[in-house]
Amino acid sequence: MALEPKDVLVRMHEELQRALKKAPGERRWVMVIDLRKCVGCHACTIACVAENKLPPGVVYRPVVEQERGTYPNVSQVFMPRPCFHCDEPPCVPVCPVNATYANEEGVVVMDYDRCIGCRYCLNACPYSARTTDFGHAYTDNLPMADGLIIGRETADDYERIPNFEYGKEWDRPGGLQSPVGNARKCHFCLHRVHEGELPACTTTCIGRATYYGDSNDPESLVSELITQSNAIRLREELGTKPKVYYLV
Amino acid sequence: MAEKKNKNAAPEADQELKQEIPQKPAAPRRQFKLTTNHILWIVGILALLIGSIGMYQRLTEGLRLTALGSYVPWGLWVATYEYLVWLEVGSLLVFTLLVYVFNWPRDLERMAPTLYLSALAILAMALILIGLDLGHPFRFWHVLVWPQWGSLMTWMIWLHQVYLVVLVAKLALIFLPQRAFYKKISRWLSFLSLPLGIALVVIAGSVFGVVIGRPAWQGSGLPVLFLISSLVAGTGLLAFQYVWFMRTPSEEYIEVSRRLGKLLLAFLVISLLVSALTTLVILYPGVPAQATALSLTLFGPFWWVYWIFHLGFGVVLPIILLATQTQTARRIGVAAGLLIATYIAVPLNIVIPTQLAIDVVEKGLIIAFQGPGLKAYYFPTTSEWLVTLFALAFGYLVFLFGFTVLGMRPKVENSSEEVVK
Repeated sequence: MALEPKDVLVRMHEELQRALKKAPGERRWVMVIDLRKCVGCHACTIACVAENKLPPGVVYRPVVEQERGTYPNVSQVFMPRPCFHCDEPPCVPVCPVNATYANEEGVVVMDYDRCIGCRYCLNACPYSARTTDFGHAYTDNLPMADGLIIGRETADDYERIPNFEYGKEWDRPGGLQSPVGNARKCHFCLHRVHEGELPACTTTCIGRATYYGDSNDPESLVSELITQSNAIRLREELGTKPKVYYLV
Repeated sequence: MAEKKNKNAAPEADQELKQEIPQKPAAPRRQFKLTTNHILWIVGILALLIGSIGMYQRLTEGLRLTALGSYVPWGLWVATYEYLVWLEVGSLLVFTLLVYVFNWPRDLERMAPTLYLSALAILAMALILIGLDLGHPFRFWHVLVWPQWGSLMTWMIWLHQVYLVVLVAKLALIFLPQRAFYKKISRWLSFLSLPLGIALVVIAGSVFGVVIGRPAWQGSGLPVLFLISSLVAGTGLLAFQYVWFMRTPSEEYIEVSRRLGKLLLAFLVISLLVSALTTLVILYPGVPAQATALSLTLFGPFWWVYWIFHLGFGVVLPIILLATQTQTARRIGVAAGLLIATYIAVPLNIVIPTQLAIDVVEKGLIIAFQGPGLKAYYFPTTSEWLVTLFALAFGYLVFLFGFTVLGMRPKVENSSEEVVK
């Protein structure tokens, strides 16, 4: 078996640069997750939380674990589950104010400033890929205790750092302003992608089990992978046409 | 001693003076008498004040103090909203049909001011609750400025606004002089409220019906069930109000009460049949994605909401009361009162268990990542109950104000006297 000429991350990075030279409407971002390679380390989940400064209760990429069989014939299956950015997303038409939509690159995004927080999209998603930001903080129950311990005032400095979702600074000073009160979801790290970087979950995957790229580029790695016979999409019967594929 | 005498003399002089000046008879002190009216106001204001604690929490802490989460995003407030819509629309729908289409005795028509007032009060409760359920309540106007007409929620919100305008117009006409022109407009508004009301209730059901993420909701069953439930709840409210507010020893009163009782019985039986059919059709194949929600309703941790509140007090007992031969107006009123007090169990059981079913269908997801709001459990927090109390108390006080201060009571024919004081 021939060795890979280069790390897949390097290859995907180069393909990303190529895709960014195209008009946004001409590229189609796709993610492929190789379930055979996933070891369930949850590094992608943590990378996503760090990249997007996700507060408690908000998760974009949980890794669903499933135990199969009975002892001694048992196995564990790990299935990272980001938003699937469906071509026919059920969450989009239900939004009463057009606060969620598929952008010209086919990525389902949120307009935090328009979202009213009705949470209809949460119920509409057949993959439960959305969560609501209820305004929780990791330091919620810490005492203030200035001068005695690293109290809430100091410890929550990290939580006040803005995140840069959708290329905008989203401060979190502790009030009720967006994105608190909004539906939140994976956005394929568009703010990174537009700067020429792969999504955080992709670069962090220790087993190189997550692939990302432009499926409109026939030379891309993802184009190769999604045409394999072992590439599947979840709940195909719904006709949602997810842009996240699993290799099984 | 002399001084002592003088001191003693002074009171005598006062006595004489008092005898000379004719004493005015003391005005009788007005004694405060606690009337039923006072008690009604006190109860309402107390409830509003207690509920204000929840309102303060909601406005300062957002949704953090609720039990809502990402897997159970809709709870008590959404379910109560749906129920209030049923009551509000259903009562007017049945009233309009009976008075303007089926020409029931004019005695019923005199209920109009009270019934429209109660509908407005219920609408106020509903809008407060659904507004506060939003993550950003003060952005409600976004739906009016940037509506997406492909979303049924947009249609529901818009229809509810239009319904509010029709309702306010109907109420305004009640205060205007009873000219033929105004009567004609009022009649047309009533006819307009029929398709509007049906559309509102059916669309409220369809909001759930189109959700493919929740298989137990999906389909045409819920829009139909919503319409039937609205007729049940609305007839219950109409019957309760008629029996309570129109009580006179007249034969017409007893006749209309009995007819309303029979109508309520008929709607109850129909709703029971439809619910039974829906339940059996889902339970028989037992596909977990659908059957889990129903199993949770019937045998889950909150089984008592279904068996005791809904089926016991909301269906069986009213049916027994309504089906007996010796029907009295009071018995019909009790049956209707029981029904409207407990029928809220229906939307609660539609809204909540379906979302809890995620625990069985996607168990791996629940344990994959944990945090506040990422659980498959829901029971309203104190804060949610308090906000609900606030909304209900607010609507109650609106009704009380209209009824006692603005005098929006059932009127006696050709007279301004009220039937019940």
